[in-house]
Amino acid sequence: MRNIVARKKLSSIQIIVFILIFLCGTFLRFVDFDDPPLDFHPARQLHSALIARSYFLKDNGNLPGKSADYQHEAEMRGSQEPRIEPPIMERLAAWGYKIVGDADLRVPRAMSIVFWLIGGIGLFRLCRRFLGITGSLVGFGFFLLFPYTIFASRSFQPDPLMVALMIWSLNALVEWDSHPAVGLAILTGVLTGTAILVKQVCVFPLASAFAFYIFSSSDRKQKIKRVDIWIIVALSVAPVLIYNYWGYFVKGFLVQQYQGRFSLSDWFSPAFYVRWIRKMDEVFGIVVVTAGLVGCLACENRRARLLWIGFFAGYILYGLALPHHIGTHDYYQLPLFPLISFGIGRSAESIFEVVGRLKEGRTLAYVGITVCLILLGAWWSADSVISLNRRDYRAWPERWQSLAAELDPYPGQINTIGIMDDYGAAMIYWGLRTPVIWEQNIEKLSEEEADTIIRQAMINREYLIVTDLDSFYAQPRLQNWLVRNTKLYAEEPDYLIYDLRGLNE
Amino acid sequence: MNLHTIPSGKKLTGWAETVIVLILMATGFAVRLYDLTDPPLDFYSPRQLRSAIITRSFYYESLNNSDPTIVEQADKLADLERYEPPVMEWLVSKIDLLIGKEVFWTGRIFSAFFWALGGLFLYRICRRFASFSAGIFSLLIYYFVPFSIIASRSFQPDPWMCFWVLGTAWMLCNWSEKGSWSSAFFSGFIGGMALLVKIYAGFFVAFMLLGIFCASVNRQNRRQRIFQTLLIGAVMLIPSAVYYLIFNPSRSGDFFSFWIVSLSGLIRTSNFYADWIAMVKGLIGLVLPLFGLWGVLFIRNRQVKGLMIGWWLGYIFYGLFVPYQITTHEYYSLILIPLTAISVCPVSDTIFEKTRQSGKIAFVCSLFLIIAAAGYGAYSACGYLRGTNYVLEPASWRKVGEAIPQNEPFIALTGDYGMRLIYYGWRQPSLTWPDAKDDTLFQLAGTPQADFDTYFDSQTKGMNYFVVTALGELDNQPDLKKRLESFPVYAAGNGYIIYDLRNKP
Repeated sequence: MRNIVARKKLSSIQIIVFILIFLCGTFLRFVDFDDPPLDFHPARQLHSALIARSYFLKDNGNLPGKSADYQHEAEMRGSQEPRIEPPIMERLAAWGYKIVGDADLRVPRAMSIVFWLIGGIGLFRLCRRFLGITGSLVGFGFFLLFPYTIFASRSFQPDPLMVALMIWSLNALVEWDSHPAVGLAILTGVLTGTAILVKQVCVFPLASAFAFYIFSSSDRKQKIKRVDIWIIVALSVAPVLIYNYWGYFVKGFLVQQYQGRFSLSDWFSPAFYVRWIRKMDEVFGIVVVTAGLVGCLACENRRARLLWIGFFAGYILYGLALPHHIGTHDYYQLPLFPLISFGIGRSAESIFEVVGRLKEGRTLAYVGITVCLILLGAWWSADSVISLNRRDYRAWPERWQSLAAELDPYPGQINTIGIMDDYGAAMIYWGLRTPVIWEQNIEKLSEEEADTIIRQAMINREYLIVTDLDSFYAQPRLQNWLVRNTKLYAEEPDYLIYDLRGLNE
Repeated sequence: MNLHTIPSGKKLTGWAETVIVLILMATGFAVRLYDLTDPPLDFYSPRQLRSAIITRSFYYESLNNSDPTIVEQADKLADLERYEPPVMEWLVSKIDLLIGKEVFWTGRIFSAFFWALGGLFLYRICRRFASFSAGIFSLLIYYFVPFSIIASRSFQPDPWMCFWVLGTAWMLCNWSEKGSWSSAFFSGFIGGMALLVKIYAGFFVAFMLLGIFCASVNRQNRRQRIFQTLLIGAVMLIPSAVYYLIFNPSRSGDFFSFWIVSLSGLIRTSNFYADWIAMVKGLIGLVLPLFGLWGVLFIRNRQVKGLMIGWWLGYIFYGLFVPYQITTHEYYSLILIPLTAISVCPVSDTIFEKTRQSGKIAFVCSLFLIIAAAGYGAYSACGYLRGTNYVLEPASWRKVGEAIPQNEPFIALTGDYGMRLIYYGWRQPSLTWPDAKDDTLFQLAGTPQADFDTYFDSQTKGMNYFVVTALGELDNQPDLKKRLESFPVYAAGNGYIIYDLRNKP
């Protein structure tokens, strides 16, 4: 069995490969850097952006070129946003804004990128404890270069920070386990507690991984008797318990957030599991998930194996606890990335081990495998760069400000209805106006029922704004109704606006 | 060497293994029969309908007491360009005669059956150099990757060609071990069948033969191997050479000059390679082919390694030979499924070996994960088939067919090169008007369309009607739309317009 403390030093070539992967991962994340954050879950990103901007403004920040009214409204809008997680990322972003002197959305994007990169280094460190250098580099490469991670790790939301803290928390656990000491226990507890505080859902994989790892130790009885372990437990759970007590019982803002998040009936519905697996397939591809999980099972080190089995068991509990989100929000798969990266690294290492035992054609096999890996990394990189550059959202901030002023000039009144995939978040963030969102499905209703529903929704609104054109074109009945009863006010490649004022006359 | 002994010294595990393989074959076959009677429009409908049209003409020709008008009409409608000798269509028509009616889905059963049977050859090849678990893993890929399920039930020669290619690979392995003249002859015979079914199989079988020859020849057997290889090559070539060069020389020349020579310039563009990789990614992802390429590098059996290297080279040269089709026609990469399934075997074998070392539970869990992933693949494919319902298409095409005046020449802008109209509507356009994709193809081939008016006049000369069923395509061709609108409408219905060209303005 590989001794986890006996690690070989990296050779010069390995250091160069590590640096190249790191630089490539960094470079890719800064491509199309100043494009507004509408490329990946815009509603989630702009929710954080609204909160961060209001902190910045409350803290005597100033938005250059914006009127006092605009700034006041922006602050109010941010304050009204519901809170779920403690707004740590938002606070950090507001401090960043303070430094650059504007609510510049590149600041939180850069922060998320840095957190993910730090997580990557932590993952490499963790892999090195249980895997050889090759496997560790492959796992590290997967974590930094896999296209989905490029998008997700630029996103202004707590998840990149949470993943990084999870990885470093596992590192600290393994370190503490091999050299138990109060200092390391405090470090482990602080990292774990912070990870859970940043986003509570990571409590499931972390707690389960910790339990599996500690109980798989041959001296577990001694370990449990040590005060260290209780320091870890206390520091891990105390922050989140205090936050929840304060939010739920003292301030009460969490009461509504916790309602309707869990539904036991989903556990008994096959559709729930299909949705879940489909989401995993969407994010990783089912082959990658399988290769990653089997790779973890193929890990020689029993304790490492159990650590990841525990982690995966926790991930399953997490999905069962949030049955709606796990099957509908792809970024809820992000906590699985450390595990899959490790497993992919292990799978790759198994292959290199076999090649190392070949009697003939070994060099050719090494070269072949390395070339394939380089080509795969190059493909992923090119794919990411092309995808990032494909859409340009730079015109939207100005556009929303002018559209909001033109279509919805009266504060305190909702004048527009929208078919928007960001639930109106961009209009709220830049235009400071909230649209009603059209979410009805009238395609299968009778003509009269459809007409009634549309009229009920459109009445007292002056304009319908369509930015989610795919959704709009999937509703031919609504389109026909609009053609018959309203006028097309504006038509641009990115949006359509219908004038509804005739309906109210 | 006995077939039941593999070079690594592992023996077949007897009846249990046989039963498991048979169960997998039966399941692989059964899953392809899902949604059996839905019209063959779910995957490359022109190709499937083409085979159905030819089968129908064979059926009516052979049917006793059939109406001579129907026989004549079916025969006339089947007067299509011949790509391959219609052996498959003839055989399927015999099945139709056996069941007493002409139905397209016998072709679907035919393809699915031979694909399922091909799994047996695949498994036997894998077992020459890998364990039972790895062989099963390869079978799971072969049967349950969604693209494999959808494409291998298609009524066209490709699934059957894959069966013959797999048979050739298996037989060549036998020949390389035994070195007998009879195994050489049978290798040639099966390879010849592959070529006869679809001439492109020549790339795979020829390179396989070359690969296995290089891997198995030595000083002692050189003379015999050379002669046997020449015999195999000759037996492979004779049937298709006779068909293409003697019975169908002009068609072969036209095909070669348009599809191969004029499009060969594509391989000098970087887009071609990117499109090819993107196509592979879309079909089976990049990880499996990557593992496949790695796997080939450390196949322990030298002869099989030579064979597989040859097969991969064959696939690459084939792609370079048909650059347009390989990047646009998914079924041109169907051969990747068996090729990848066998190639990943050494990789999966290695990982299974590692999980086995991790303990029984880890090994069983990894098997469970892989079976679950395969089940998900089957579920996804069935979901796709369930989601695409074409049950109303035949009746609507019959109506279009009835609306077109009998015995009048007409040109049509219609999907699938008019095949739906021919098969369901029993009407064949005298000419088909090119759609946007055809225009792109002609431009790529260096034969762009002449100016619109000249082209329109030349195409409609002698035509009395212009039938449009691709209304979206008509919108994409404003010149044509404008010109057609100057003619009176002879008939119009749900999804079609017939313009009367007799009174040209």
